[in-house]
Amino acid sequence: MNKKDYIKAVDNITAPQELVDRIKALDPPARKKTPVWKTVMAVAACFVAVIIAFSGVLGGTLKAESEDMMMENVSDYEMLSDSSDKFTGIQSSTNSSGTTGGTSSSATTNRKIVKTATLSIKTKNYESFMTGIKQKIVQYGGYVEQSQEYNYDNNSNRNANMEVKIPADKLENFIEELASIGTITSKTIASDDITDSYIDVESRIKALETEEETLLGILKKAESLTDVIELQKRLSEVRADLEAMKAQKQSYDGMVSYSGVTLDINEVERVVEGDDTFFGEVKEKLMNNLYDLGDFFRDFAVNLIASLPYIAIIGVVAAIVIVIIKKVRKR
Amino acid sequence: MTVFIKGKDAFSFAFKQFTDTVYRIALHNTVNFSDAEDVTQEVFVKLLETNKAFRDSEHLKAWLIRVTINLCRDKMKKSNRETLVENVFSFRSGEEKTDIFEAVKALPENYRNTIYLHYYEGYTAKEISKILDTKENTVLSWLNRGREALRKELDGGFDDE
Repeated sequence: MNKKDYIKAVDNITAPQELVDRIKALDPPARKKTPVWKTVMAVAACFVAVIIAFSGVLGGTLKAESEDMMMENVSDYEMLSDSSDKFTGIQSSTNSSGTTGGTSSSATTNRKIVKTATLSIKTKNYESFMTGIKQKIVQYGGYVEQSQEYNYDNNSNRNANMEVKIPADKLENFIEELASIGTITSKTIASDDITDSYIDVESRIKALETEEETLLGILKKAESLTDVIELQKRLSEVRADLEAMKAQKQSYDGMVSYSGVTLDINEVERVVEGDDTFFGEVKEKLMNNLYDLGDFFRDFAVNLIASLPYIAIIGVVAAIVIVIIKKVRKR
Repeated sequence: MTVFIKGKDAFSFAFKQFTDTVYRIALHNTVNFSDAEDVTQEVFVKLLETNKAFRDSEHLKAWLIRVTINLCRDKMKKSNRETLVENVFSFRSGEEKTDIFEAVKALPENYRNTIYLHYYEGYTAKEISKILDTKENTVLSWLNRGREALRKELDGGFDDE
């Protein structure tokens, strides 16, 4: 007997299939499809396609146009880290997405859009910014999903990562508010259209409900015990599927009504405002150098004052030495 | 920036990679198969419920191991059992009855988990100390005492060779 036997013994232990299935059932999307509702799905898909085609024809050009705009807006990427006028950049992008949102929402009321935003923010006053942001989140009816703050040592700048959920209709306002208390250096807003998956889930729920009813009907008429057992087994499967689908739908609803905002917050000693004219650049560089120079003197003064005790001791020793030397020379 | 896995991703990853690991640890720390199965399922339910973000698969695995051991402890406390090895304990059909596994199971909880984590999962004493939240030296002594006990119990001992 040695450890090899033990390893072999443990190797032989594997989770029984029945357990694996039970665990798998915990995770809704991992469930396999059943042929019965596959057909129902196909019918439902055709139905939906017909409806969409119809409304497309009726809606005419306006609808088609707004759908094109939606597609463009799917990944609305803004990189504002360069020095070209940041604030106007942000302003215009919010405006344009605001108007696009307006037209598309009137034409496509039932579309399920999941919006997410990723922001990098610089701030001079880290602490007041963090308290400010927490207030804003509460004020807008959102919540913090996850938050991490880093402070490697006392000298370096702090930074924080936050994942926040904000009610989707207030996302734009929230970002504007953030711009007023900090400086946004990069902003990405992405919209993901989950209408298809949503409709898919809805029709699966309908199909499963129909199957549940049918099974219950058959169960009432069933005579042999094996039939009853078989039917009940299927019924519990259907009900589990149904619960899973309903949970999925709820989670979609949550995703649509709340937008995820990822924040990367960095503390800086000073925020550089962009100005790309010649003199602006000269001024910026000059300011930087002056700042560095100031930094140098500041550090110098700090070190000087900090080393006063040593300087005092050295001074006393030097004074004594000088006095002795003078006395020696006098003789 | 570190990439985190959480929620559904963590679940499906853990399901693919660590179901057996969780089940094995559960079997080490419970009386019978049905308890071990219940614990395994509870661990995965916990994983679905938690909003924790995992740095990498090792972080996830360590978390699963810790949760499994704790859940087993709770279960044992509830059923108020003192020893894990009972006479009724026997392996399911198709598997040999393995004495060495029962010998490991008969060890005190910390010894048996350390033996499992070191010899089967290949963790070092330092890594085990982090998972079980204790000192490295404590882990080393558990390992030694566990090995010692097994040597007495089994013919030929429980040596590395």
